[in-house]
Amino acid sequence: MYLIECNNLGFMTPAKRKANLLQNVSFTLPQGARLALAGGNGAGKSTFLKLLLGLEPIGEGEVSILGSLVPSVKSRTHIGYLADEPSPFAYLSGKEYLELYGRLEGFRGNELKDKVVKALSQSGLTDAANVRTENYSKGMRQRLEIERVMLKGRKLILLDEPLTGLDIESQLFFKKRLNQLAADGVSMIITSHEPSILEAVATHIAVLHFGKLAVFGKIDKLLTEKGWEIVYKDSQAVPDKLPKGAKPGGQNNSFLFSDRKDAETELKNNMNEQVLSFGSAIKGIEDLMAEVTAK
Amino acid sequence: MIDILSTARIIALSTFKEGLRGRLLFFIFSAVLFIFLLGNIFSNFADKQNLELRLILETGMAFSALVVLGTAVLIACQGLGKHDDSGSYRIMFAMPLNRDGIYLGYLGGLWLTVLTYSIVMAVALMIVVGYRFDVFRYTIPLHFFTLFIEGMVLSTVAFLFSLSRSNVVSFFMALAIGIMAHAEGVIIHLASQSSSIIMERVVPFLVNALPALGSINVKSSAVRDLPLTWEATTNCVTWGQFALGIGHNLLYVFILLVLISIVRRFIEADKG
Repeated sequence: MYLIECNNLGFMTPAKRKANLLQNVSFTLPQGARLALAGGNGAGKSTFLKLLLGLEPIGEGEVSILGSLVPSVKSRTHIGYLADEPSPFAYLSGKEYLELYGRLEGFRGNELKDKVVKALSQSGLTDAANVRTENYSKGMRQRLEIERVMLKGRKLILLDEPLTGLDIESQLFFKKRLNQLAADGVSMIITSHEPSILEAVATHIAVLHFGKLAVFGKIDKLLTEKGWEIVYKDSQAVPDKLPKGAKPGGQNNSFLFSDRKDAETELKNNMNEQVLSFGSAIKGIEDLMAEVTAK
Repeated sequence: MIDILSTARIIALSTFKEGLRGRLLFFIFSAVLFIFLLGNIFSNFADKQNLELRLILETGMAFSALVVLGTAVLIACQGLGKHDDSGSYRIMFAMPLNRDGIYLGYLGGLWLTVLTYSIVMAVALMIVVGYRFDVFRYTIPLHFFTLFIEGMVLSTVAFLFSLSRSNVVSFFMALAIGIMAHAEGVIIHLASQSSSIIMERVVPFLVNALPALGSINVKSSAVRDLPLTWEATTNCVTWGQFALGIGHNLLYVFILLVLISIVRRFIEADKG
C-alpha cells in the first residue's frame, strides 16, 4: 500500500476569477518516504497540503493516504500538520497547549501528564512550560508545534515552510528533530524555499510549476540523471585525452560521465590530486530547481 | 479518535478560556464602561432640566453613544482581518476529529462566554444603576436573562452567518440581527399609541426590562422621578429612547463582530 496515491488531482480557486492552482497532479509515494515539495511562490505547494488535510475541497481526481480517501477523518488519523506560521493559541501556556491537544488526541490522567512532560522535555521548553505561547519566540513555537504533532505519533507529517523565520540555532534543532523522526520511520512532506532542509531530510522530490507537476522522483536518481562530473583544479590539470565515456562538462576544467563506473575508473587512472571534486552533475536541489526552471 | 461530545466539551472550555483571557471581555467591558460614563454625565446634566429638555439631551447622548459605538465597530472590523490570519484553527481542523464536534464546541464556548458576560453585566447594572439611581426593582434578573438569551441567539446566528465568509456580508447581517433583536423597542413605541389595560401593565415592565443599557439614561433622568405608570411610559418611550436602543444595537453588533472574528477563524480554517 502506498503512503500517498494521487491521481489527476486538481484544484481551482472558488473566487470569481477562477485559477487552476493544481492540475493533473499524479504520483505515488511509498511508505517511509520523505517528500520535498518544491516550487516557486504560487506553484501550489501549500494548496496541495491543504487538499491532503481536507482543508480545501478537491476539484478533480482523487488522493488517498495509506488507502484512505481524502478528505476523511480516517485519512487525517495518519497525518500531523505544521502550519507555515506556528500559531499555538496565544492565551495558553506551552503546557496548557499540549494538554489541550493531548485531550483531543484522547489522552487522559497520568498518561496525558506523562506525554506532556515528555513533549516539553523533547522540545527543550520545560523551563518555559507555564509561559503563555504569545511570549514564545518563533523557534520555541515551532519546537512546541512539532511535539504537539508527535504527542500521538503520526505516520506522515506535513510541514509547510517549517524553517521560515527561524534563527540558525532553532533551524539546527529542528533539522535534528526531523532526522530523529525520519530514523523512527516517520514519513514527511516538506515544502520549503530553503534547500538545506530538503536535502537534509528528503528522499523524494516533487517540483510544482504553476500548479503542474514538473518533476517527481527519488532525489538520488534525479541528481544523477545528467551523469557524474569530475572537476579538475584548473584547465591545465585536465587530461589532454578525453577519458572513456566522458564528454566536456559545463566548465572548461570538467568532464561529464553518464556512467559512474567510467568516472571512477578515470579517478583511479589519473592523478587524484589534480581533481577538485567528484559528484553528480546536478549538485543539489537548488541545481535541480534551476534545471526545471530552465526547461 | 475521541467522540463528538468530548471534542465539543474540550474545545468549548478552551474557547471560554480564550474569552476570559483574551481581549474579548476587555473590548466588551470597555465599551460598556464608556456608555455608563457618558450616561452619567448626560443624566446628571439632564436632572436639572425639564422633561422636554431631558429628552432632547437623551437624544443627544444617544447619538454620541452611537458615534462612539460606530467607531468601535469600525475598529473591530479593521481587527477582523488580522484575527483571520491565525493558523491555530487550521491546525485543529487538520486533526482527526469530527468537524461537527469542533463547530459545536466552539459554539458552546461562545455561549459560556456570553453567559459570563451576562452575569457580570447584571451585577454591574445592579451596582451602577441600583446604587447610583436607586432603581432596583425587578430589572436586574431580567437584564441578565435579556443579555444572556439575546447573546446566545445572536452568537448562534452570527456563527451561521459567518459561513458566508465575507466581512461585508457578516457586518450587515450582524447589524440587521442587532436591530431585529431590538425590534421590541419599536413595538413598544407603536403599542404605546393604543391604550389598553394590558399594555398599561406590560409596557412599563418591558421598558425597564429590555433595552438594558439604553434605558439606563432614560431611567436616570426622565423616569427616575416618575412612577412606572402608563403615562410615564408613553412619555418616555420616545425617539430619544429609540435612538438609545440603536446605540444598544450597535453595542451588540460590536460584540457580534468580536464573536464572529473568532468563529471565522474556524470557518476560514476549513476553507484553508
